[in-house]
Amino acid sequence: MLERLSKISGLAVISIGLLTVAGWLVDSRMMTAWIADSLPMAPNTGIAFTLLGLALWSLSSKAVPTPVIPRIFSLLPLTLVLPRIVEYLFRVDLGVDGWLIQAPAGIRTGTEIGRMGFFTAFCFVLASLALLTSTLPMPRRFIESIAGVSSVALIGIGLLFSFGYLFTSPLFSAVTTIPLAFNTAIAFLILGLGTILALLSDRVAGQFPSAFDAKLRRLHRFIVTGFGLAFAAVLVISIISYENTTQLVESTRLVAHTYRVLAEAEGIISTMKGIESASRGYALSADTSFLRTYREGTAAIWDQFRILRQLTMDNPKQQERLERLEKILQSKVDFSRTVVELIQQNNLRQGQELIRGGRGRVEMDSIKALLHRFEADERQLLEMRMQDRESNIQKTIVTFTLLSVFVMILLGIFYVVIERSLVDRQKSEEGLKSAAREIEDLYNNAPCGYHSLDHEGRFVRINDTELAWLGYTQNEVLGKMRFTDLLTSSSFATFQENFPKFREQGHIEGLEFEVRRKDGSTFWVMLSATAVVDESGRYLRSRSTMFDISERKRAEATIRRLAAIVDSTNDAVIGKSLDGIVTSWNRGAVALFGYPTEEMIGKSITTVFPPEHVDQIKTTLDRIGSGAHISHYETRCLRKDGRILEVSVTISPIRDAAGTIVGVSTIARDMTSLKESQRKLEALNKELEQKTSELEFVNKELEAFSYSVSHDLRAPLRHINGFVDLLRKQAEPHLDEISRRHLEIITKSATHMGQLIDDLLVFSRMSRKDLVKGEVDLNTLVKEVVKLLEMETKDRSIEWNIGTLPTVRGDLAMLRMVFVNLLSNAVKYTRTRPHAVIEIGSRIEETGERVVWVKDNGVGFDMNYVHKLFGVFQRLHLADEFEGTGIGLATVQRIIQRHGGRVWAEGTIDQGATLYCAFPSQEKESP
Amino acid sequence: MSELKRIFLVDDSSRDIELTLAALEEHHLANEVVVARDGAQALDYLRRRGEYTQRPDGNPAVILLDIKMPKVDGMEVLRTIRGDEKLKLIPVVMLTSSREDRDLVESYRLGVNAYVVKPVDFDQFVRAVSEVGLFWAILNEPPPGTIGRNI
Repeated sequence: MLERLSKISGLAVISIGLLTVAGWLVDSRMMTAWIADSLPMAPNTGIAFTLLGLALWSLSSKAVPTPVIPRIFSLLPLTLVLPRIVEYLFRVDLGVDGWLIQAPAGIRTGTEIGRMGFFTAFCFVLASLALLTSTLPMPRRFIESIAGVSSVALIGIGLLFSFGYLFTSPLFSAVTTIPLAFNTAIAFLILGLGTILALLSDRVAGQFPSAFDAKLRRLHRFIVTGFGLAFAAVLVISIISYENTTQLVESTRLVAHTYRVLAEAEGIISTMKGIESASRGYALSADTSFLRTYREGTAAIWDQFRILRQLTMDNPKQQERLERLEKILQSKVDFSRTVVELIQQNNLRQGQELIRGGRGRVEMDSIKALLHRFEADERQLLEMRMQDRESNIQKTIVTFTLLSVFVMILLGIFYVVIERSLVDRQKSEEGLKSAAREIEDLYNNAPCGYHSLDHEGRFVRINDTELAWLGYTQNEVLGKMRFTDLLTSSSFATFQENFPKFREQGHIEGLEFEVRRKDGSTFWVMLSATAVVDESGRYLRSRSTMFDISERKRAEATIRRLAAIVDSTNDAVIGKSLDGIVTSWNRGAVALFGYPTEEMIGKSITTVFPPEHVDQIKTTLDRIGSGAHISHYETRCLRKDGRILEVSVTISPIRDAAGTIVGVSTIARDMTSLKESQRKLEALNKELEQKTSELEFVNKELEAFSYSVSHDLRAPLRHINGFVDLLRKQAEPHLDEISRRHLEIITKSATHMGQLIDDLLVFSRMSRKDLVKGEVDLNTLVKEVVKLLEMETKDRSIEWNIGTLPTVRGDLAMLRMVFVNLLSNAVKYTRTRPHAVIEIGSRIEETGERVVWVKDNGVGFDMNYVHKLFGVFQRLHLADEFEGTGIGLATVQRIIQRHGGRVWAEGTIDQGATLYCAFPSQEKESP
Repeated sequence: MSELKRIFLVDDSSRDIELTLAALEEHHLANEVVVARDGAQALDYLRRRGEYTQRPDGNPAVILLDIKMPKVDGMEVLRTIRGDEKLKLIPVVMLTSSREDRDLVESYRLGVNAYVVKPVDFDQFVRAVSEVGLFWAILNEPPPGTIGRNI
């Protein structure tokens, strides 16, 4: 809209200019002056308007993309205007106005028609300046200042003069004496308006500084407008003053001229009177002294006349009078000379008669009358000029006063407005100061650290909070320390990596640094920063905020630890919202259900349940939502591969800090294998129970059997023995050697069988009898057994080598049986040795087992049959060679096994044997 | 020579009885030996019931009691004796084939005076029986007023 109006203004100015030029070409005063009998616009003025109109149009037109064209158009008029100003100032004639169009010469009220007025030229300079500035790439404020003031001044001048033409008033009648044509005034008015419109539209380059808010911009425009108007007023005042003063000087000069004319006229009368009286006196007295006066008069009169004629050269009426005066003067002078010459020739009477004739008086009177009329005319002229001058002075005073009042009013308004804006500014400055104090307080005492770093990372600002955190003072830090000085080595790397990036992109968020306090302790901070840059975008400093996140770090570490725990468990730990949407899914859950974490997050937990459980899940979630807790609830789940899982789940509500239930935690444990094992275990238990009861039954049977054996098997043997003995006693004398031997064999066999039964009973008792455990010192035990064996060995050569033996935990009676068996075996199988050596020793194995061995140098055995050594009734020697039941070592093995140990043997035939008993380590045997 | 004390032998095995008597004889122990073949008979004898109502008055000097017997076994007999005011002071010696702990423990618990396992070897058997007989029937002084007299 503004642009269009501005463009229209341009076109209007062009039209006015072209109309004028055309008017001159066709010699139409209507086209050049518009108002009849008023000053026409000069042809150069028309051309200049055309060019400036083009400048304005091209400035406002979108069709003209470059500001160069309006710039050229606004500069071109100066080629006509500046030479014209030079002409004025230096009073030379360069013929500028005739360069393009020669206007017919003419003068109107002292102004040369067809020539650009000084004031017009000056206004063109303003207009050119306004338009030129509008095209330049300068700050908006500068453009508005120059172009705005100029345009407003043009508008003011245009308004003043066009109104002056349209209305008659003391002011404007005075103004109309200014050499500015009506159409020129209108054209300047339009041009000024158009330029203002262009300024207000976006066509003008440049931006206001950001500090220029709407209020300040209004003030600026007000000042520009006011200054433009004041400028126009002062300009008009000065031009009118100049013009009026010039006229005043001229009229004063004319008045003086008139007085001189009058004086000269009086002078002529006086000279003529002198000539008359001198000639008359001479004629009457012939006194030659009269001649001197006469001669002086005749010598001066023509000079005086010439001067008068010259003085009134511009007045034809007076000239015509002077022509008549000249003839009379000539006649009078001739007459006087004739009189004088007659006297000189001594023709006194003739001369006197001439005088008496009265011609001289008549002529003198006509001279006087003529000059008086002349003077009367001059006086009238003087009167007129005096009035002119008076009126000029009056007009000047009125104009001057009115415009001065206008300027004063403007200044008054200015004063008020500027004063008010100063007060406003004062107030806002105070407001700013208190705001600044508040901001400073906020900066320093904010609950976070603030600092600014320069491009090298040095502190340029830092707030009190951060200083308190760090334990430094401002003086120690500002300009002296770099941020890196505070960082631990790992954080230093972070900073080195990120600081250049930050300077380049201008912001950075959420960097974490470990910062060292002055006392050497460290804490974690989170840093965010934005960069302060200059107008060209160069980094100046940072605006950094710092938060102490030690607490958070600790919490994070705890969370990580907890998360690691959650992740390391084989149980599935699942977090979900109250409506069953999965929010966390640990490794255990992945393993258990077969769904990867990323697949399950956001999905409903019902995914892992068989469809028939879905309703139940909803009920469960509702219960948890109202705060219930479900422990070890066994249910069935669905794996991703379709397998059904037996799981035990513990479901609890997750509460936030306020205690509100925000979610549900589920811990699921795979019970499938456990259930399976449980089932197996149950089956095994059942089997075991059965076996146990069977065993118990068997044991009972065995006990009954043993009991029977001990009673019932021994009784017959006893009877055999008894009755054989009775038989032998009675039939002894009658028996032959063979019968006696038979009886002997019967007795021995029965006795052997009794031994077998006894040993077997011992063996079975050792298997069944409860262990009565205590500390058993084997050294003592072995000594005791050796002593026991002394009866059998007293007539033998046996060397006992007994080492240090351990103390073991066991059943003393059973262990005694062990050593009785072992040692009596050793004694028995060394029987064939003239010198038996039996060694009893012990050692501690790496496993902690205590091994006791009994080594002899007896008959030994074949290692091929070592496996038979500990079997019941198993014998490696003939009963004839070595008596025995074959149960002893079996009993030993049984007893040692019941003590948690083991036995083994090494031997070589004829090289002796070693029997080992290993007792378990002390730790193992203790409970 | 003082009056020989009566030995009361309770055993179900006729062979054992024969051997025991032989063993006692071997050592010329001339004491009267009364024999009962099972627990019931033994108790009848001790209480002078049944076929023994006419037997002479008085308790034996010692009872040699086998454990494993038909009808009423040795343990039962012992328990009854120890529970009977008239009989409980009689010395009882277990003469048995069993060397089972439970028999030993039970016997002593019921108040047996001695426990002898019959050896298989006859010599040892003779020695054991004669020593028992010698000790209880001759050396040992029974509680006064309990021993019956031969008439």
